[in-house]
Amino acid sequence: MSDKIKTGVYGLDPILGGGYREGTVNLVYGKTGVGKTTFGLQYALYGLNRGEKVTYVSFEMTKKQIVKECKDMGWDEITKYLENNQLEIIHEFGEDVLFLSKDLLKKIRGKDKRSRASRVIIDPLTHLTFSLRSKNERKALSKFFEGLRNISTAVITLEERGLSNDEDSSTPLYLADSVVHLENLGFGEMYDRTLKIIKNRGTNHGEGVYPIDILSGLGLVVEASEDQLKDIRSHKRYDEKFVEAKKEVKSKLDGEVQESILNRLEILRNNWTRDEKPDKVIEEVLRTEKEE
Amino acid sequence: MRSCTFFSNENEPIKAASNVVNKAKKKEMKPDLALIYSTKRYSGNYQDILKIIEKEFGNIPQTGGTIDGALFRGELRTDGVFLTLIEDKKARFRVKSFKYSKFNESGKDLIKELDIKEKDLAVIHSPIIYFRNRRDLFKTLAKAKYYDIRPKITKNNKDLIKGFSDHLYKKGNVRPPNKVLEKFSNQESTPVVNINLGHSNLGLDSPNVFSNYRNIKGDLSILLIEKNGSKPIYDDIYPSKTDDLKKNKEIVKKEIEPIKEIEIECIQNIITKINNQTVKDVVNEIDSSSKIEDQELKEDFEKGKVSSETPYILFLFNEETYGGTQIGIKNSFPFSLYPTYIDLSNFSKEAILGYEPSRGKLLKYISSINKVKDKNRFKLTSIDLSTVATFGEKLMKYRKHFEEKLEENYLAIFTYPPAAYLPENQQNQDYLTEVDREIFFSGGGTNLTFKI
Amino acid sequence: MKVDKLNKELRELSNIPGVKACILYRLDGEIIQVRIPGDKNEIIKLMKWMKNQVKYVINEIKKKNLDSVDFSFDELQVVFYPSSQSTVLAVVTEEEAHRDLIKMEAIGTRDKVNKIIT
Repeated sequence: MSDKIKTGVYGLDPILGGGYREGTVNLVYGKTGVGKTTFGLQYALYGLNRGEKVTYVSFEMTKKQIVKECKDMGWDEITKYLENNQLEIIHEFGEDVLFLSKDLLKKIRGKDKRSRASRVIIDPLTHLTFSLRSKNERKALSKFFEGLRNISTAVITLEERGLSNDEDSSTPLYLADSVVHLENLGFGEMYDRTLKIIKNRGTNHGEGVYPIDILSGLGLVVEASEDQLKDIRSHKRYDEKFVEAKKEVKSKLDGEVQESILNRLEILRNNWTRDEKPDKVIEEVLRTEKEE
Repeated sequence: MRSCTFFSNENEPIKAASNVVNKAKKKEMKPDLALIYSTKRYSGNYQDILKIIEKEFGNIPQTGGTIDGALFRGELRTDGVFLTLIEDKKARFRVKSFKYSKFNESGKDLIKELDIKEKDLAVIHSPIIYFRNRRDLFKTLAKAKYYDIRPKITKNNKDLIKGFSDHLYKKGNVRPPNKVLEKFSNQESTPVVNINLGHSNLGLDSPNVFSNYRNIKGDLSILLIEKNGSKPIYDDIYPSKTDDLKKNKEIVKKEIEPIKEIEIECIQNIITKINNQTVKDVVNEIDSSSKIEDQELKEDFEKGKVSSETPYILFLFNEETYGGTQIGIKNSFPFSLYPTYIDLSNFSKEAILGYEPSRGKLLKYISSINKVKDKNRFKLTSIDLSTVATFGEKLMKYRKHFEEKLEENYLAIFTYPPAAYLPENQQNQDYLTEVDREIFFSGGGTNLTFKI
Repeated sequence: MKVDKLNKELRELSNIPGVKACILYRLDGEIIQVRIPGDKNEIIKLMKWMKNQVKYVINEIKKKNLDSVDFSFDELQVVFYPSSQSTVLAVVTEEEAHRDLIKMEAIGTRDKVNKIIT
């Protein structure tokens, strides 16, 4: 967990497997007013409070509006970070950005590599994904994401546009390394405001629907039960099963196959979260790998 | 006085017991009596549960047994173990266990043996129907079957029929409350409550009685409470009776949606004929859907799947008290000799066949709690478990009702209808369900609250 | 925490013999909490069907002011209880279970869930 980038959203990191992986692009999507901007700001402030440089790209709110948003939450320190240039806010109108991968990426990268931000927030990317009908436009987005990965660990917010399954609106979801969905049904009940992790490449994550609150001073707070957290945490209860399995691999396989399977078993051992024993899974792996 | 009920439905019985004990320890009580009840889910493991509770509270007397569910602190639970601790320094509690055979053979000397004091209230926990094992069941069914398969020898043979009834009494397969309570009827100072343990599904070795942390299975546990003002409040779902048998019949007819008036033939607790037909034939005429064969009955009993619910009732009248009782009947007992849980020796031949009189009576089934005036005493209420099937979800209203009427210090258990021996000076009204002199019971609709 | 309380209530309900699954659904079919005490494979197929029923069930409950909606299959019964404006509690029991007694527990759980959620 220690090599993950903390999100700054209370209660989220444990269900994200510790936080975001470094150098990834992470999407937060949901309808208007659901807490996407608050999420982005929390992510930013967590880094800023620890001496990191942050770039905040806003396609809706001006710098003034963002500062007011923070102060309303009780995050007055934002002013300090602006003054000392630890935080850079770039405000653009979405319509003015013609080439994603060139124009915007250039601005985010900045001139000096040494003072590059480690956290980038783009809020929201919606305007730029309105029309991804052409192959070239989708390619541009893909390149943009790739570029972002090379610069920092990014959080991008995206407006949810109803139940559309068409290719253009869901492309960012495919391209992102992780996707978090925020919802608010509006009944005023515990599970109206919820967070769900739709995907999180390369890491165990919680698969449930988690209720969230937006609390003054704290921002978004995610609630997960002890049982739900247990389902995500790996444990070493069945270590001896893996040790036995590795012995069997060493005796029955050799060369690169042996090395590869040993490696996989070790990763599985470190990530085993289930209550039940791994016997069946190991048995299947060994059976498959031993077949000629 | 303080009391508290602790509950757990952990999967493992030991965990469940430890859970209730841990919760109880946190309350830091100095209890004087423990009541332990359990639903059937821990069948086979009751003694393990009792052992764990005994480790912590073994210095105080305990009584209880298996039930279908309980109500406490506004909650209704039908699965788990219930531990109620009562701390009352003004009361003296004694619990004695009795082997059924010894209890059955005892006469009026039982009172002496129990050393009942004048201010006592006695509470018996006992099954009303009990088959210890397969052998016990098969022996009994064989006797019933014999009557049917050898009609030339057996038909109308009163000795044989009485013999069957005596067998049921001796073995404790059926324990009519009027036979149980008549052992206490030669004294006028101590009321006796008979908590008839039972479940909505009949089975072997079920229910079980818990007495001083021992699972005594089908034997009896008698709790003696010595405290000023401890008393039972009995009630039934019928209006008060009159001194006139005819008038009482009319009262009953208004209550039970009668099908017809009938004449029965019976010996002790065995009904042999209803209008010259067997019970099963009479029920088959109305509805043959639940008819089963004896092999199926045996198998169902072993699996614990014989439902105790009965769609039809007979209301029978005691010739001495002019009161009476309802007895449920169904056609799933496939033999001519129909055993009931009341000794009908003093009953009139004239009876009424009808339907369960439950419509609109949800709260009447717990009416005894309305008559409890002292809220600072602990109250145990016995509720007819047929209310679960009869009223379904509406039963949840009981939660609010108990909270409003009793507020705290109560436990209500769902089991078979309770019975009571009430000396005349302890009777609040002329209950219609007076099945024998000063003995009150009915096969449905009685409820009782006793307060300590 | 409220989610832990919710978890506890569903766990206690799923502990009851005869209960195959308890699932708390949001009205859009999203599963909020689920407990399957036994063989999950038996229930997985049913869960997909249940998810598709949630919206319909909630509509029927609201339209006709129902306390519950019951579905019976060969060996299982599914009962949906409205637990709040936006949630419904589904309880799956096996055919041989004592449904009347389980229903009492399910209603108790439904009421507690309602208290926690609203």
